[in-house]
Amino acid sequence: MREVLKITNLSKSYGRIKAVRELSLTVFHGQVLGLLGPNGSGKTTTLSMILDVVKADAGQYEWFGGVPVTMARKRIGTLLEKPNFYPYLSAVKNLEITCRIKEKGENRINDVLKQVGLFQRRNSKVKGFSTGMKQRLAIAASLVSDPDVLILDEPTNGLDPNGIADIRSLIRDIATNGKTIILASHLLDEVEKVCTDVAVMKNGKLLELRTLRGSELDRVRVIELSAGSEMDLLKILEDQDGLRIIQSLNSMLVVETKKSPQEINRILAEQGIYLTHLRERRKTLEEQFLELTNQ
Amino acid sequence: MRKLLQIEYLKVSGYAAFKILMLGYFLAATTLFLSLHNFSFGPFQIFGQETLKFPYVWQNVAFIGKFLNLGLGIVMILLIGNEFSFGTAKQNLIDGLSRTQLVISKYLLLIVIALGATVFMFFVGLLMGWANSVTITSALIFKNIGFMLSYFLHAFGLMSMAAFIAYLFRKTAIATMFFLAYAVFMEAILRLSIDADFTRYFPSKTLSNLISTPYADLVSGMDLQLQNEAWNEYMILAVFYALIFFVLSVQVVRKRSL
Repeated sequence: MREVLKITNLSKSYGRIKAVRELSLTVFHGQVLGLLGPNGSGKTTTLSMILDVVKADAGQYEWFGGVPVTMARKRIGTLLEKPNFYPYLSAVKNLEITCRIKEKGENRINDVLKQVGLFQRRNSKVKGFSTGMKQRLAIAASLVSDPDVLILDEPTNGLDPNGIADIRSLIRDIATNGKTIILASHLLDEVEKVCTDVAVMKNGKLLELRTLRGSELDRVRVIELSAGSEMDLLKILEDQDGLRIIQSLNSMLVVETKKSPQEINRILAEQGIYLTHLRERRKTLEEQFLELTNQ
Repeated sequence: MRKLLQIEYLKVSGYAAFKILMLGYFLAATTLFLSLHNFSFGPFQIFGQETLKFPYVWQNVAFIGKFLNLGLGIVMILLIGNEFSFGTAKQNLIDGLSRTQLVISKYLLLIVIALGATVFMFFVGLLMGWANSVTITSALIFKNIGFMLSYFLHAFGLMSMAAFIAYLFRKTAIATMFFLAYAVFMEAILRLSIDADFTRYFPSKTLSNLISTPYADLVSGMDLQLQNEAWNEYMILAVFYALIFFVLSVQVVRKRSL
């Protein structure tokens, strides 16, 4: 797979606070990478550094196998932190400026404004826009140059539920067209719904990098079970090898195991315990995330 | 270059405040020039009929223009301060301009504004000279036309200074106050305690020296022995200072996070 972005040991401090610590990460063509982490974990700082908006203290990054960052930025559509526009100009005029800077034609302006649902307001001044409308326009601006790579930092911030759904399906559509997307978010279901891979950050460190679509996750099963007596259930399950209890809630146990549900059911039945509930599911990103960030 | 200017044109052409400020500048200048003959200093009419004749009119127009240029400097600070307060400096960078290009585009705009103001001053001078001169020959008209170059360099130099101050402080209000304070009295106070041979090369003084005070000659001799040549060493110095301010602006923008 082609490398789009290679980050090596990137670090940044603000005074005594280490915002990003020796972060290394490689993004490949076609990946939809979710950058996940609690507030203040260094997501935006990392994105700002790889775009040279914020100067890195140490470390390197390389776009498209060594294209200078000024050239690379023209090939990247970016929404960083908050939408920045000339408030006295209309939506269309603002996008014209974006196109001129990116050295791309203005033929897509109307299309992207339709995609984000702002076509009716295209000639209104941005200063009259609501937060959600500005956010939509910012997404339009990141798409207008038809970039190879999209960097979206909290793209659904300030959007209403319809807007969130619209933008998510928009991101999925773009991803199926083979674009590479880096999506920073603290919203777990957002990342889970649109990403192929996820990088989890905390306190400026990369805790984990894993794929969401693949066999790796499926190998570890998460099984919910409950029985008449939770105590008995616990006692038996605790003795089992290759089985880990990750949650005990409202008399329901959630376990992580490589055993199949049938196998577990058989083991318990042999011990005289009959289940009232047994369900296998994928481990939610929330569980994984909390597990990682609470360590 | 062309691309950067087009982008700047897009930014200012839809900006009502910019258009109002520029219109205000031209209206204020026009009103001022129309009422010049009313100004007096004691018994002396400062801008009498003599001063508005060719070729003297050019220096007087340039001299008045020198003060109006403070307004152009403030316009520049506003335009640059906006880029920071709107977050659009950062956005332009993210979208693909380099830090140097961010600065170049503003300096290109500044040169265009200075050229526009110079053309305006040229027509003002031409009209006033035409209205007040008894004998009009092309030799007389163009004799001191060099003062229009002095005026252009003053506008260019002063707006460059304003631009650098705007890049340094980023906040429009603080930059405007510092710019006015520096240009009007801070440098003058600094100069008090330093040798004049040295201080006449200070930036604000250098720019001011481009166009010497016309009525000083009037008051002393009353024979209208004006600064004969617009050309002087300060012309080169003004360009030098504009370059210094440009390079410093680039450095300030390149060193700091946006």
